Amino acid sequence: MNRRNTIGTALIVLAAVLFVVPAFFPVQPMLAHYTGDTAQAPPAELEQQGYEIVAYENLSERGQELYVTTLETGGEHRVPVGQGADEFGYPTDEETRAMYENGTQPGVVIERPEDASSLPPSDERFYGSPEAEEELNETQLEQRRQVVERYDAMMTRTEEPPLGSTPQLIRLAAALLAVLSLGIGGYLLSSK
Amino acid sequence: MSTVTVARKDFRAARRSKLLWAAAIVLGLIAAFVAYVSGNAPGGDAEQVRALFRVLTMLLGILLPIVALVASYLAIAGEREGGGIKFLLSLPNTRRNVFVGKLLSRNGIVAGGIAFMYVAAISVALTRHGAFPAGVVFGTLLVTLVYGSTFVSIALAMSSAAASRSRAIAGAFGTYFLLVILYVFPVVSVGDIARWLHTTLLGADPNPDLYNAVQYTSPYLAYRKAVNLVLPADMRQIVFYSSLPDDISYGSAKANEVLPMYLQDEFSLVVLAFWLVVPLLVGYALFERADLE
Repeated sequence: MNRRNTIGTALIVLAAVLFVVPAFFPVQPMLAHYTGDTAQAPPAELEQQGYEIVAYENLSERGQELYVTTLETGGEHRVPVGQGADEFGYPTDEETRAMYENGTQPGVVIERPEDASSLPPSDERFYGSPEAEEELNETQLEQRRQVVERYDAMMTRTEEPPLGSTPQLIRLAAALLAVLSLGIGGYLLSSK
Repeated sequence: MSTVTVARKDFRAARRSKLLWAAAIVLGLIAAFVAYVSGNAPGGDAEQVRALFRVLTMLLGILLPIVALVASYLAIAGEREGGGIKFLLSLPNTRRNVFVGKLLSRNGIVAGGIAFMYVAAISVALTRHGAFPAGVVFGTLLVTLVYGSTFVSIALAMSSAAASRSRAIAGAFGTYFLLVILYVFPVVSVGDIARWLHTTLLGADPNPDLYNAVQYTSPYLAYRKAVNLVLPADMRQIVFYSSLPDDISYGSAKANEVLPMYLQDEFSLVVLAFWLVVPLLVGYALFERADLE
């Protein structure tokens, strides 16, 4: 076998391995936490809307840790399956859709302590529609903001890691390399 | 030499082409990348993969004719201009052997390119979603192979009729423009031209079914409709919006049934069969009568 054949065969084998092996190791889903969403209504209304309200003090140590880390990391935090908190539900996309259809909101609303100075600031950004705000005076507006900031919505779900994450990029790189190997290997073997 | 020998020799020669392998690599990279970025469809993993192959067919609808035309337009015209046709016909080969051999070989090359894309897309889909909806994957593959073959037939027919390389190139470009481009961009679409002729020039009342029927002569639109035959009803591509009554939702099975028979998805098979067979018959007849001196 000449050198051209050897390299061509090696590249074809490499392509087969790179195509087949990652397919047996699909990207594992992760448990995602998002605090970017805003629960605008007062607590009683939120419960009517299907939100589950949990006081921060009643969260498990893991639950508190996940909430704080999510706030500290810009409102988005992922952990591997099995490392979530028991009190949070982690629905898949399909389950989330079904929950919306049933009038239930995925995730929880966390009632922060009155003195939340030990916690990162809440990232509730929207305090209601501008039309509704026009009807309120300054004191009422401030009260409303305090309520919205105290009741911090956190969405939790099971989902794929983002496309830019390392496990995803490794698999993309493997597929692209497999295509190149197959093409170059095929050419070397065909053009001898 | 027989038909098979001609096909084998032609296939071997084409396999040595750097350009064809480069095209296959580019197609494979595109497929892998599309498979990687897809995944926002509603539903579970199998739905994500079905949606991916739906997107892939939309892409192939535009790219595959280019590949098939480029791979086939010089099949016979190149031999004629380069003098190779005399060698081919000096051995105990008939023109039919040469024509059919070239047809088989060029179809094999295009099928190889399609397979390359599918392998890349399937691998990434399995890696990302861990699902393999075989019906949709193999169904779209089969329809795509037929679609590729229609453009091979067209290109080979033109290559048989063209006495020179430049005419064959002009024919390939013209075919792509007439059979694909005119159906992709809405501003200069065949449907709009038919509407203008019908309403402005002839002064008739608008008839969307008629304009859609005129458009349905394109293998490009026939391919898009044929893909619907292997997709679930809620993933169907609606091609002829103007023929659908307002009270029909696009995702329902009725979106196909309410159309006139000649606009339904099943009719796409007739259109594809036409483009698969008629150009070959015409091309072969022209090749048989051509003066190759």
